[in-house]
Amino acid sequence: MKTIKNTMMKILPVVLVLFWTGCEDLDFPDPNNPTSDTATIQSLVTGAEAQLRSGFGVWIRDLLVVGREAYYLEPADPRYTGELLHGPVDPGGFLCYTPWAANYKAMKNCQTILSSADADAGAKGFAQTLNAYCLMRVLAMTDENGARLNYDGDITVAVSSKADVLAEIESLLNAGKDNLSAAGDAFSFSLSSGFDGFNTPATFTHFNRGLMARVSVLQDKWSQAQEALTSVDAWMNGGDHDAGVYHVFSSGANDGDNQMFEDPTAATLKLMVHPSFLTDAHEGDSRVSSNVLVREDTIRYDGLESYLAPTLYNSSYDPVPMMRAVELQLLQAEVHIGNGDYAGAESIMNALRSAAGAAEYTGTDASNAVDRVLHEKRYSLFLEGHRLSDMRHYGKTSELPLDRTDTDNPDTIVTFPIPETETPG
Amino acid sequence: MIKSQFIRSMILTPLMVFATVLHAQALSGKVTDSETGEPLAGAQVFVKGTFVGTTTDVNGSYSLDVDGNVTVVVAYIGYKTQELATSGGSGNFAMESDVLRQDEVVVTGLVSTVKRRNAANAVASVSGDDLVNAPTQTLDQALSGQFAGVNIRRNTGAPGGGTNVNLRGQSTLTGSTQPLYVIDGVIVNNDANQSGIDVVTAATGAGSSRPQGQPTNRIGDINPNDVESIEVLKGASAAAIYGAKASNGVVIINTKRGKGGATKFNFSSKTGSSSLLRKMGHRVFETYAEAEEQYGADIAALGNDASGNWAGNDFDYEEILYGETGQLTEHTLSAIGGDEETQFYLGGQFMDEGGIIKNTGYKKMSGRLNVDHRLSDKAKVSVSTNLVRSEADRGVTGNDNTNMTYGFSIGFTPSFIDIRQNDDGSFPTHPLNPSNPLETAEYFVNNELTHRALSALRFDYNLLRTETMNFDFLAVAGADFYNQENEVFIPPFLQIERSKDEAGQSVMTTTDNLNTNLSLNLVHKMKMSGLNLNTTAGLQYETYDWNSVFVHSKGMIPTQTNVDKASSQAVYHDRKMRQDRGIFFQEEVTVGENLYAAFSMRGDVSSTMGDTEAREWYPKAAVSYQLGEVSVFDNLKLRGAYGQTGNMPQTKAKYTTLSSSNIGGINGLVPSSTLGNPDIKPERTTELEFGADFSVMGGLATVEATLYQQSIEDLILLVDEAPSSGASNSWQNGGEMETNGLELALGLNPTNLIDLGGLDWNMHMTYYTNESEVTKLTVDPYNYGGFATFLGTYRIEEGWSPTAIVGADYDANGNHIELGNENPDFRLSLRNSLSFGPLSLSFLIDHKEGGHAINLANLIYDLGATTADYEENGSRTAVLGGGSTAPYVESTTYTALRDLSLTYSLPAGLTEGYGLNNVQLGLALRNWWMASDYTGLSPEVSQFGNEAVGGSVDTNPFPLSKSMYLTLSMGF
Repeated sequence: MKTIKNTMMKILPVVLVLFWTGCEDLDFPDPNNPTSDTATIQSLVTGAEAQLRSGFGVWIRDLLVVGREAYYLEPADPRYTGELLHGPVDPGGFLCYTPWAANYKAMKNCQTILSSADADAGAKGFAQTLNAYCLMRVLAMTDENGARLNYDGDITVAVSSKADVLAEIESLLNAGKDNLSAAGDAFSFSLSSGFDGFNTPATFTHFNRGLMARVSVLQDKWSQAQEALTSVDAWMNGGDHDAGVYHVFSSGANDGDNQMFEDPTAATLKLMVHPSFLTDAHEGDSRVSSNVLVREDTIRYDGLESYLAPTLYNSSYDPVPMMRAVELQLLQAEVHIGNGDYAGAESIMNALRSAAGAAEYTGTDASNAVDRVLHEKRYSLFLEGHRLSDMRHYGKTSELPLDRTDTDNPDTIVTFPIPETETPG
Repeated sequence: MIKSQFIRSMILTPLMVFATVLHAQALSGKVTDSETGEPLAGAQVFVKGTFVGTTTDVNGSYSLDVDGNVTVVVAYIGYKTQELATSGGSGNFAMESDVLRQDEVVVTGLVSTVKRRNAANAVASVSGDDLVNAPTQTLDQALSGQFAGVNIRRNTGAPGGGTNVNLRGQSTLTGSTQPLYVIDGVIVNNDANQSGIDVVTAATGAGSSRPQGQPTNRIGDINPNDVESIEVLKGASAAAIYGAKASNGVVIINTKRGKGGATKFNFSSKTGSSSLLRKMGHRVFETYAEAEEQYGADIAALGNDASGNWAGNDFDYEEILYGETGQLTEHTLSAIGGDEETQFYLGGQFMDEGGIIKNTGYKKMSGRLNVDHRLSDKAKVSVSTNLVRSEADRGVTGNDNTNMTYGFSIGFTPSFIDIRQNDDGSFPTHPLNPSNPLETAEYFVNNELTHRALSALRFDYNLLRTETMNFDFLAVAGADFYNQENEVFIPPFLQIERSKDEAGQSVMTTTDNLNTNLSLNLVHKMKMSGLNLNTTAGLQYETYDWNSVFVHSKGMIPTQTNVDKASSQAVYHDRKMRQDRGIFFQEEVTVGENLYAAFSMRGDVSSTMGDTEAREWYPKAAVSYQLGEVSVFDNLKLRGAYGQTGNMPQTKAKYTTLSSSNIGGINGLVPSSTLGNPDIKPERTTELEFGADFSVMGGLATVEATLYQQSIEDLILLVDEAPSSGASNSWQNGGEMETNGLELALGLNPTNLIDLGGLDWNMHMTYYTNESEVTKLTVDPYNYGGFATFLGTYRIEEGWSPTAIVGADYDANGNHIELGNENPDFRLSLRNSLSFGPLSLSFLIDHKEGGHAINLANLIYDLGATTADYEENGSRTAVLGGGSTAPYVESTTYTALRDLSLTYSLPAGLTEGYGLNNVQLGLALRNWWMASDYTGLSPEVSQFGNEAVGGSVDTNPFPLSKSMYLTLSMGF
């Protein structure tokens, strides 16, 4: 017994030393996440598509509140009811930062695809189109402040002007179209159901051209817009206003949800429709009653009040449109107005109005055409975030209700600043 | 076998020769306590200047062979060391208690100690008895106010705690601020895990790098009743031997161990209650007109009675919600015993504490068994094991983006509306807030259940012993495993949920963690004439493996809580792994009695370093000299120490990876927002400490004064990247910081000088102050912490204190104005211990002077127009429109009575007949009183308590409670 004990006593230190020297390598890989070399074209494409929804919630609230389509009555964060209504927008705050960063992260995936040796023409066409779309979303906020066209994080390079960004968007869309036309009959990767009907190189080109029409109209490039619209006539006039490209959501792992949905009958609500949506509506227009619940009680917060609850979405997983056929029709109406074809514009608008039960327009002319098309866009594209860009386009932001003012900012804010960390100092 | 016998004989032969040459005389006697006369077992008796010695047996007796005229030294923990010049015969020692604790040993290395009188650093130690005057739920809370330079803050009053322990000010901007905890030689875990509350309140997402929800700290699991002593190595100059993990200091905890002799039991029972300590108060609406002006006619009408007249209601919802009386119970039982070869300590604790909010509380069961066994005269093995089950129900408090938490909801509830429970048990729908907090408190579940097993195994083996030399091998192995389950459940019928398309939420988080430790040490001691050399060297190996799975379900099937009984689930899985290897060497020299010098070097590599081959070295040098009696000083010691320590990068800092982002069931990848840094290395703190310790007037007063300077380089920063690159920030080593501080400890023992008629009184006071400054920043100055600049944030800029608070206030040049500073001007604590016959009284007063917090609780109340001072000061909400942040930055000066205990010892004659001894009855108070002008619930608050910078943000935490206990303890 004693001998065993003594022997053990001598062996123990040796065992311990062996254990110590025999331990594993200290330089092990990240136990949580893949490294960048594991990304495939499919995972980059899906990542980019999924990423478009990240930051979407803040992006759409920014545009809706500043464009006076809605209030966001968030007691836990007074910035939605303060900063967004009277400015100035903090270039270091999340209202400005989150949508910018989220869009650029999607663009990062597009850029990675474009520089990848594995990318075929279809992948490149997809990446260029999506990259252009992200730049459009950024510009919808920053407008005259421009955006960044270098994706390498070098902030000593100047932020590009609005004109340069618009030129880059057109150039990306055109290059994307060329790549898509050389991509054969099918993509080498899958897209989500949000691109149903647009998930082959040929049909994805329709989305590309639709974006081209949108960006051309914003620049008053009527003939370029017309050319793009003509190429998507089957989509535009296919009879289904809702046909288009969507963000889709699901309860699956690492998927997203529709951040605009709330039960319109709940005791308290955050996203409330701007009261002017009801007061400015034309008699009988079902685009109000089908999109808004007029509540019996008024929801108040921080000096703002509304009794209009949106009813656009029915669940946390309802898809949210990126572009629908009805937008193309309204873009067509704008092109007609731009070309002086007021009757053409009136006929498009009246088709929408009569479907909605509102009285048809007569006598559309240079004096009222723009206001009329802006009215139709406001009611047909409700809560899709176009109103701020549209009012800016026609120089009518001063017509937006003020709600509240600040002595330093007598007018409503119309542009968001470039995030603080994008510029030196 | 032949070889090992050979080695043994090589070692043993000189000893045998030695033994036969001497002509020894026997010295024998007894060692007793001078006051009680009780024998002291285990006292060390040895010949001065040698390793020749023995220990007393269970009767306090010893016998030692001495050769010629020698000096025999007797030492026993807690008593003054005694010496006797003798040549044999009889030697009895009546030991006097060591009030000044000069003979106590303090830690100088991983396996070495020195007598306090020689210590080269300021010593911060406390005995276990001082921790348990009044019960605390967690060990870290018991440390409040006990040490100079140790800032302990309760982030929340929630059951189960959530405490930030900060030693000697800021030493990092992004890293952990928590000290390293070492129990019985083994590094133990002090994780703070996200509970899942953040996710349902939308305060932040799962796996956030800035978790909110004021999580508990796992060190809280340790039972303070098991603690024999705690020693704190506050700065780098003391903690250098712990290397790359010690920048925040080291808390060394030794648990109680067995003693030979008849088994002694000790039982204590404490029962009491807790109640709300402080309230915020609220606005009272006097008239209908006042209510209408604020909220409109619809809401104001709710304040009318049935006949339509203003009812004048004034419901105090703080009182209604926070006004529960928590029932408190704690029972402890311990047993100490053993024989000369084997000793044991057995400790058990049962604690059940109700909270001051409905359905909150804390329960803990802890069992500890420590066994020491002497295998032979050369080998000893010590085992320490501890099993803990702790459970906390914490309610829902703190920051919130859904208006679900109690504090936010009360802020949006004017006192004239009635949201109290209806007679039928249902709750009214809150007309102004998405949730009715009284309904939420009734049904919300936020439960945390932890099972933990700690074990340490220590093996001592004497390789060689001669008269003047001792050579030991010492191995310590330890494992610390815990499983923490967090359950958050919101039933679908609550107001906050019922309007959602997926009503009801259940969050289940399971976290497993295993820490392992192994250290192998050689300890060589040599005694020469007037010179003692103590050499230690060793290896350390540690692993940390943390694994957490989190499931968030929405759309619960009514009556069901399981995460699968839901319409949708989101799952997160996160791992953190670390492996560290260290080597060290230390040499200590004591010349005569008075001069002590030490030098050490530690080298560390870790998996968290970018280059796992590049060992980081941490040196230390220290010296102390006792001048003895100098002018008015009885005993003056000067000391100085220099040392370096590190703070590890976070486990994820070196990796640049992709994160998962799926759509429609297809796997997608996007860049991570944070870029890793393959060259990241630990932060390095260099500290220089000087001090003087002395006593005056025959021990009436003892003073320890310490000055220190820390400079921290290679600060790890999370540096902003342009988001257009796809990343938001990256990890960089790029900054320097400096901290200067002063610590004073004053002990007064009036009884030493004058006879107070049987009253024994001693007083211990600590004072400390420190100041930090960022001295170099390789990136542009930036704001960090809080929620937004205008909501108050911290400024990181060269020449600024890292805890400076700024907001939307700028000078004429557009530069930030400092609105306050989290760091207090000074801290002061005072412990008084008095005893008179069978009565004894002890209390601790803790004072914090200055320091600021960002009081967003007031902003929340202001937005609800319910703040007590809303009518005068409601205009401070102008901060939302570009006004000043200053009105929300408040001083957090406070004075608190941390603990008080009054005990009465029953006369021995009364209890002996029943076989009982040491029977005590007592009254104990914990956090009974606090005075502060701070208008929020707690001046100690911190929404981001575990963050190095940006902690002091008040978003209505769980309110603080005070507690009172009646105690009974007895030995048998």
